[in-house]
Amino acid sequence: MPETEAQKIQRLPHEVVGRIAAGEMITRPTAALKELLENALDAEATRIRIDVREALDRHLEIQDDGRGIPRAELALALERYATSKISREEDLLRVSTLGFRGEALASIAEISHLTLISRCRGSEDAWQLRASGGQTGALEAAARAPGTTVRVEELFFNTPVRKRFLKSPAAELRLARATVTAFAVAAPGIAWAFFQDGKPLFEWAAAPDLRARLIEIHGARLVEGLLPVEAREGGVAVRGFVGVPELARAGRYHQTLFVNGRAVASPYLAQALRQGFGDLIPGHQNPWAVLFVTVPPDRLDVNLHPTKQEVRFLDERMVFGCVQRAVHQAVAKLLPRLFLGTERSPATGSSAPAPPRQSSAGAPARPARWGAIDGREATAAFYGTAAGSGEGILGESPKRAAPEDAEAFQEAMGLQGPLTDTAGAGGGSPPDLVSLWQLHNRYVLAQTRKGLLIIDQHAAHERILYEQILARMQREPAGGQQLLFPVVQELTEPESRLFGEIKGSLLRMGFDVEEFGEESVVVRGVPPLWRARSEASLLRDLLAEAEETGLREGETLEGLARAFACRAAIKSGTPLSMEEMNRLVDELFRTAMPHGDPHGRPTFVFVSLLELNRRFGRGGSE
Amino acid sequence: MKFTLMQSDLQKALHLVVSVVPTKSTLPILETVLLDAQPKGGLTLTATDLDISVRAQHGADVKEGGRVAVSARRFFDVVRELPEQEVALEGDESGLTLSCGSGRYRFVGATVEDFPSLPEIAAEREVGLDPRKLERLIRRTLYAVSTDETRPELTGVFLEVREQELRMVATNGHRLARAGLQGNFNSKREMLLPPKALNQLLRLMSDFEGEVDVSGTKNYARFVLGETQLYSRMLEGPFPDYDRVIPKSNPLQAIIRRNDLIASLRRILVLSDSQTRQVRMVLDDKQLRVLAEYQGAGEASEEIPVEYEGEKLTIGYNGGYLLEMLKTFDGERVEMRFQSEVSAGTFQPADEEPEESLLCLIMPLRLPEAG
Ligand SMILES: Nc1ncnc2c1ncn2[C@@H]1O[C@H](COP(=O)(O)OP(=O)(O)O)[C@@H](O)[C@H]1O
Ligand SMILES: [Mg+2]
Repeated sequence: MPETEAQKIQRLPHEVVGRIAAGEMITRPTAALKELLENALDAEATRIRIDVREALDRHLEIQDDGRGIPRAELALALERYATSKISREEDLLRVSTLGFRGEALASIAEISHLTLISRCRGSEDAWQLRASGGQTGALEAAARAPGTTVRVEELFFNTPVRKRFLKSPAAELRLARATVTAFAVAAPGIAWAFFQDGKPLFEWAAAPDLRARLIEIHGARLVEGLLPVEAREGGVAVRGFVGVPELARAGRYHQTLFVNGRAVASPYLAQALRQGFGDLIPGHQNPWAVLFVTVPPDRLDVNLHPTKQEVRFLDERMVFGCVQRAVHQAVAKLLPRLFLGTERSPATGSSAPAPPRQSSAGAPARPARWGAIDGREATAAFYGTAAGSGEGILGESPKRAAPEDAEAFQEAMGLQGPLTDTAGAGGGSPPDLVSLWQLHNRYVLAQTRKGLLIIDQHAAHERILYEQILARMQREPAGGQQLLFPVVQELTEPESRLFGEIKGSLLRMGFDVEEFGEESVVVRGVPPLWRARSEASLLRDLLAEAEETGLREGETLEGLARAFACRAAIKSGTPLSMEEMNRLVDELFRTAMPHGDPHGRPTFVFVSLLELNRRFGRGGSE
Repeated sequence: MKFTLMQSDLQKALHLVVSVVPTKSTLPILETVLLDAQPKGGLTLTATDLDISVRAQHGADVKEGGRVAVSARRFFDVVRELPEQEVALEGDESGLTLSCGSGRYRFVGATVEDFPSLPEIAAEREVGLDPRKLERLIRRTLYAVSTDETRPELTGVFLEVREQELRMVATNGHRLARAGLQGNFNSKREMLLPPKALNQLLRLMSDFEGEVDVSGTKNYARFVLGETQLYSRMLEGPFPDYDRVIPKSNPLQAIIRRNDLIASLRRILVLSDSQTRQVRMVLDDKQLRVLAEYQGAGEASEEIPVEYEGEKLTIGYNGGYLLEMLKTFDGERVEMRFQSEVSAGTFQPADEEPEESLLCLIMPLRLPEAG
């Protein structure tokens, strides 16, 4: 844990000042709010109250019960590049507080009428200092409980240009609320109150954990649909919640990403998060998420931008992979709840498990009482204080967890364990699904111990082929099944152009194909995948599909694999033998994401016995 | 109509036809069996699913001729529960009454005119075949058909009668099986038969002793087994020109004991990729090495003695294809011939009955570069 005892505020040495990302940090009223909230958190406040009168830029006041600023240092706090948080150049490389530049108060004081009132913990008296347009007044005696109040009035009064370009007060207030909400999520152990013109916009008591805080903010119903995320890989920890795919929306307004406790706008992390969902979410939407990523402070650069909203990871790819896998695990683990109808997870029985309550140092979070909880510790419980997680290389590979997820999932549906190792064996033993039945040549019905599984044969086969072909393309060139009767296919002009562009990928898939005259190709081999259909026309279909979906620009292997799977998968309406149905089910549950086809549609629906019993009015009994 | 016969005879005749009846059909008439009694011809039973029809005759004491169509399932289910004694049947358009001992069973009739008529095929016989040999021809080819509904011509078995030879050929585009039978057939005919029909034929032949007559028209095939006839609609062709793809001379020849290879493959396949089922075969001096690997599951290899003296050859196959094929072989030894790792390998039993022949082709799975 970082040293929590207060250091003195000091002027930063020259060489440190030179290395600070310079620039205008107070670009709008909410930026001031954010800086002031960071200060309160850095001062270990346990309750924070925000008051706005009329508009954020007219009157903004933040009160905290943090450790306060000694009388002797009050003036220094308003000085530029004076801070109690870092002192040497090396400190810039491992910032563990939210602020570190000693710039915020000074910047705000320069463009507003600022009042700073503070009383140190353990001290008897409070002192106040006023500053206006950068001119600091004299120290005066004041009265307040231990803690600090910062009042900012008439922000931008002396920068008319900035003032003219302000957003409407309502828009600014919306942003302010979102900002405070993000802080409240990051620090559930702290009590938050937000008042406008004396009326509360919200008041959130200290919460025992993140989940409780999310319930305070979003209500229990939404939180029911969240999937806890928790993973550690090397020094990287990821925790928080992601929403079920139905909560996905366009834009990123419903995503809150924190890095080492700092809310960040990181398209990179957002992308990792998305990929963790595989194909479950349509392209234009983004998953609901509250994620805390913690990396060792010396592996993170926050000194990029004056507003500190951008961060750079020194181990970018590793962090990306870690986030993606953590999210994937969460999604896979709660499949039963996600896709298996209205039941709650039969595996976990109750509602979503509470998020971890242990700080990385192992200290259990204490129950919440107003003011009785140590803010730093509670906060640490969720984003693992930087220092704490920095040391431990708790290298638990999330890959190892995957089989468990699969088991938990199969267990939840009552699929038998050995289901996954029966196929492939020549004339092997039949899988353990009790019975299979094909409905309307379209759905495969399977009895499981806990209910009924209804599988869409086309979607299931699409998922299987998609993963297979993708794996083939990503590996070394794999061989293809040679054809007895090579097929010559004429291509349209755009098709043959596309062919030229993606020929390499096609060869890796297993196609054995060559140009044949001007506008034709000859196919001598095809990917050797089980039950792939229409192989004679597969290549052309694939090109047509890829052409249609405008793959050319995307150029993604995924897109190509999707097109392939879509064309090659068994169609609805195709009768299947018992053996084929077995194999389909078997291969489906061998895939990484059995629950959805590559377009994000479900591959199966699970109807539990409980659900059936309820429908037949049999209550909970057998 | 009015006739009598023994319960066991009626049951036997019904048994021949009822399996054609579709369990659920959008055309209710297809769920019936047509009974046609003629004072001279005895009793004729017919069932059809439109693609395949079976007609069985049996002698009966017919006092009054006539036709009636009744639910095949119900009629059969009653008949087979009756004691072995004479049964009397009496019917008209409206239905059929069966009397046996003190029992009376009345079945409501369907409109006889709705019952589909069977294709007209000239009565004369074209080709006569020993049912045991025909069975073998089917067993050796039927497994090799394609399931790809986008290529219907590959989903059936091609039957070809030439002057001195009858052949059945099936292929899914990756492998091909061609079974032949020598004889003086003095006829020429080509038919593309759906597997469903061949499965019916196998069933009908299972306890049939006489000769099977094969004949047909452009669209229909007919198999006559004594008093029983099977009609099948043929698949849309054309069947591909298979002769063209059979290598004339694969120079690298190896002979291996069939059971050795089957046993090895059974073990090796357990550790082959479940999708591709790829096995790698390495032929070298007097030994065949069979290898497979399945990422994340394991790998396996075995060595089998083989008669081979050519150069070293590594070739990949879908092991499932090899196994399926070998199970249809008879005799102790298998002859394999290869040319290269990308061209068709040919396989045949090394010790064949004189007038029979079997040749199988499997196209390799091209191995990744290193091979
Ligand atoms: N709410 C507060 N409670 C206690 N100390 C504070 C508070 N706000 C500011 N300070 C002190 O004033 C200093 C300057 O604050 P600021 O200008 O925001 O710079 P920084 O946060 O980067 O250090 C801080 O280092 C801290 O010591
Ligand atoms: Mg600060």
